[in-house]
Amino acid sequence: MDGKPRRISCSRDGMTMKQNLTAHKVKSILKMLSLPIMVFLIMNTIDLIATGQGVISSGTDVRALFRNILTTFSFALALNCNLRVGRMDLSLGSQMYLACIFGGNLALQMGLGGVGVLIFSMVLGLLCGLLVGSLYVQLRILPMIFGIGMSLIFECLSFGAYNQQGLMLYGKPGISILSEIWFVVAVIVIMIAVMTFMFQYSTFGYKGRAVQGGQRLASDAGVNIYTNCIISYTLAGTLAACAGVFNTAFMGTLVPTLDMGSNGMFFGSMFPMFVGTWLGAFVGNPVMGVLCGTISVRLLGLGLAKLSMEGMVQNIIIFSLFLLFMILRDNMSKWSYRKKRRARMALAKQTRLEMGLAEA
Amino acid sequence: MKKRALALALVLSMTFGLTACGNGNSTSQGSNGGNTTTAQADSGSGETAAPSQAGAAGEAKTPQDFKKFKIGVMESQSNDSTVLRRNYYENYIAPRYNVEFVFSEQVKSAEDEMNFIENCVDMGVDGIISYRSSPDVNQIIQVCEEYELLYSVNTTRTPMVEDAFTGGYQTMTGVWGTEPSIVSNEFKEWIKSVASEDGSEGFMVTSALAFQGNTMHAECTQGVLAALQDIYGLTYEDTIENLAATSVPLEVPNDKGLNIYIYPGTNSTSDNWVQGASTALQTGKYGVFLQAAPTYGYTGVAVDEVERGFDMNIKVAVNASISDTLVTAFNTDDKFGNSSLDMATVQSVSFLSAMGFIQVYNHLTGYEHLNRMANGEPAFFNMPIWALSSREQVNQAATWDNAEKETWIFNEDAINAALGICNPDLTNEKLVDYYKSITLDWVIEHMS
Amino acid sequence: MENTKENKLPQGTRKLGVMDHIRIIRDKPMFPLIFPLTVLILIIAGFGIATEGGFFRKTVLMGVFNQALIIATVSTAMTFVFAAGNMDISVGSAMAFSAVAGVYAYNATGSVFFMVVVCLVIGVVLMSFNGFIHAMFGVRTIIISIVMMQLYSAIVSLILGPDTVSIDYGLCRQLENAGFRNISFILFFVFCMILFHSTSVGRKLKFVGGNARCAQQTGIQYKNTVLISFAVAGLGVGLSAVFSIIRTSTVGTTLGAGMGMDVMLAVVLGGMSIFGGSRSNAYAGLLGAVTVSALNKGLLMCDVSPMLIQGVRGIVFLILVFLNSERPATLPSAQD
Repeated sequence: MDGKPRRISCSRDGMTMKQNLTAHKVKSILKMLSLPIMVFLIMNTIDLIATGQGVISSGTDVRALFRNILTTFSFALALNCNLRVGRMDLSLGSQMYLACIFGGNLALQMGLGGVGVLIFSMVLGLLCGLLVGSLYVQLRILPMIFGIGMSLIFECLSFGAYNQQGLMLYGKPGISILSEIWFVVAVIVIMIAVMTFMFQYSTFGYKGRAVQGGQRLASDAGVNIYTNCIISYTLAGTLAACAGVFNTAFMGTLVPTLDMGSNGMFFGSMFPMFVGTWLGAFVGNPVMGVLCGTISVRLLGLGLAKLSMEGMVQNIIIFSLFLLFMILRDNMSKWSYRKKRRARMALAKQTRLEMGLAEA
Repeated sequence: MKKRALALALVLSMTFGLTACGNGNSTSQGSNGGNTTTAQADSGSGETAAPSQAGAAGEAKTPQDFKKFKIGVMESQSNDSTVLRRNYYENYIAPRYNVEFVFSEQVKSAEDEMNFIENCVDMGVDGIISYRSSPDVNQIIQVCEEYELLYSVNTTRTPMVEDAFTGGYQTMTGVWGTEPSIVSNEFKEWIKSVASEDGSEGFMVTSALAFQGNTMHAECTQGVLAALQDIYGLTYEDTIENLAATSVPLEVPNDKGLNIYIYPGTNSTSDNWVQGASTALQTGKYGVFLQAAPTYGYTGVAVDEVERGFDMNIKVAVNASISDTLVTAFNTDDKFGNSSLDMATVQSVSFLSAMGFIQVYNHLTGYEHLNRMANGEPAFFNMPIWALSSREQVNQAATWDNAEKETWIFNEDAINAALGICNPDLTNEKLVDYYKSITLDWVIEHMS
Repeated sequence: MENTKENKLPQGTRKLGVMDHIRIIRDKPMFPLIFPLTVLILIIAGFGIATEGGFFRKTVLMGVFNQALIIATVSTAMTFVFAAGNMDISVGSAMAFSAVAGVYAYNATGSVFFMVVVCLVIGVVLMSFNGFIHAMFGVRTIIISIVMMQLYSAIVSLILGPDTVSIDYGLCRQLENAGFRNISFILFFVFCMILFHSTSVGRKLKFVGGNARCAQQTGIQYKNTVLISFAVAGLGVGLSAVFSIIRTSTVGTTLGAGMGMDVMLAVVLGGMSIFGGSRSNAYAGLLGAVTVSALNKGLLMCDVSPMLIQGVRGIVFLILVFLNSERPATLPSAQD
């Protein structure tokens, strides 16, 4: 402001820079955590005022919350695998159904319990994702259209198998582990570790970011976009299956559906995913961001459920907030730029005024 | 050159198509039924081909004495019951009664119904058995009347479908289903047997689709509220009908301050439905849990967690159908070693399916008077429902209606007893009494 | 110099292979019309043979068209949105909303004209709202449509509650027998064809869909173009609401469920890319809708199990789309 150049202080051993870096990191983490904390505080306050009970009022609330967080987190991550490069895979829900129904029933027939159901379902999910990815790479049909077609086929397969019973986990031996908090937390932690490694520290993640920047450029730079795509689909299928297992464990049963009825979870996970990727940008880790986004949206849903609102009204509120968020997200930089531009113009005017006065 | 070749190919295929069309319009028999449809559509008299073949009253006939009828089956759901029904119709009834069935995909709206009906007309179908109960019945019967297609629907006679009864439609064969008051009576009796004297345990009712006009669910919920009113002498602040039709979760206000909670919806109406039900149960205020629809598979885990967390035994009753899911639920122990389901009001798939078939078949074979009440209006046939309250009963019931073993509750003998061609002296009243006589004891005796 | 058959090709020249010939055929301007039409004819011919001529009856073929009418109307209108490179799957919910408003308007006034006007206006308002959000705030249309789909259907459920609303069935039959739907659709179709293929509106949409930045630099206002496309789509949605009311005379909460996907299916089967661009056309919706309807009807008449119909539909759909699409050098995505 005074026209003199600013000096960046930097000591010999770089301590000040390190401190600055640490402060920046802490600030970023706090920014990322601010949304779930804010949502919790707001919903808790509203619930206390309206019902006399907070958002989380019992141990079973905590258990249900953790389970729902895992389900949504897993599915949102699955979405993110392809959506970050502009592929909207509408077959993800049907992959989940197919993997859980076949994998889960196979595991139950072998008497393998909850962990077996989870592993088998995830393996089937991996295979489903691999199949869809491979077919997509071969056929090169638009991903949304391809997803619709595969969804129709997978739903049909899920429906026709096992006497249309789907997957029934309620009352089956060894399934209760899927509802235990410690197990749910362990799975979340493992998922964070694995997916952070995959997205941030592996070659797949590195190449994925290159593809995200520009497919043609990445291809010209030597990235095998096809292998990367197949791995993305495979990961997505595995994660979707994991989400499906925990969701079924809570619901008790997974009933097969037709007519694209499997898309419910897909649409329901978009809000957490978009919020999550936005939050993840603060810390440069989309996985942690998606987790925070999931927690925020789940707390919102739990808080609204406590208010005994009609399901449709809850949907209206949640999706309205989704729309508002997207508008803000897509325009924040524009508005910030306009604000700065106005400030610069005001400064310029003032400066000219002063100069004019000075000249006079 | 290529354009010409392409044009030629197109012309050839058009010619081929037209030629085939011309051949298709010539006489054809069998399941295609093209002539039958044309003949029926052209007759304009509202009569099907069958009545002229019915013969003199008092003369028993066999199914082979009639042409092969084609019957459309319209399903509103896709689940194990519909698959079992299809098996029953295709593999058991069709060969025995010289009929052919055409099945719909899941019909979710009036538009889907219209499409299926038009498709059936094109296929020469003679009658429709519909399992989609909705206010659209009044419109659909008019469509069927126009196409001279018999129409039978699984519902009860409610104000919602009254126009279909009083409109004088010749093709309306009537309706059949379970009088909701029967279900609510079963619930009432069960509540009386399990509830405490002061009602302090609290009652939660999932009213399912009552708020969307589903009669069964509405009357189930009304029955529960009426039962509680009777048992505890309650006074509600609103009518039972309004309370049951609530679209938002509702703590029912009453003068005795009993905890009565109505939770509407199902898993299909809201993604958070299970979560909401779980949240309500986790308050620990409800020791009796009644479900108007078969949602126990979704709420079982939540109930189990609450029982463990609060050390309370929640009594669960549900309106369902016999299925593997029900059997598993009854055979699953809760924390206290009891069955996780305490009571289920069930229907037999073969019984339900047979009633629809009988209604249409009697009409087709010239015994439409069996489907008419004394005042000439279409009849409503009430289907008994059974209350199963032990795992032994449920395990036994699971052996009935078995497609693999071809053991059906409503077997050929039971069907024949309701058919006019086998019992020319049968009347509508006798038929109604016959259905009423099919009690649980009757089934146990016959199935053993 | 004459080129005779005996002339050898110059050195280094490769002879055209089968794939090359296929590519040449695909690049022909008429291919987007010929291919789906041929597929439709083959499907009808195939089912006709399988049903021993039953499928060729006039009532059956008219039934195919009648059942496709509503999807065809919306699909024709939605080609304007797709041509500009946008997407919207909230059409079903918007149609239900329009239909509810239309029925209430009729029941209040007894006027069919008023019912039609209300349906059209509501349809235009709802779809224009989607376009407005995209044009003003830059949010991707697919996201907007996912949100609005939920919002519109939730509002319809709140309005209708446990009831359905209906109008006099007799009136509907009169309108149907008078050919109201068919005539209206034909007029609307002709209007869309002229607007899309013969006016600057269609040219601008295709240009924007091909390369929005390039189009902007030639002076085409992206926002205005998009708003127009959504307004036309709204007309189609409103008209299909009227058709729906006339067809069934009743409106419930399930009306229009899944229509967004059906429309996309129809448009793609009709030979148009949902990413728009120069190969967009206004007849794709009609062709695709009739194809889907013929497929559904034919499978049912051939006694294919209802459980398998969906699977068969999915496989046929993928095969047809694969045959009709140009295989890009890289993977297709919204980025490109």
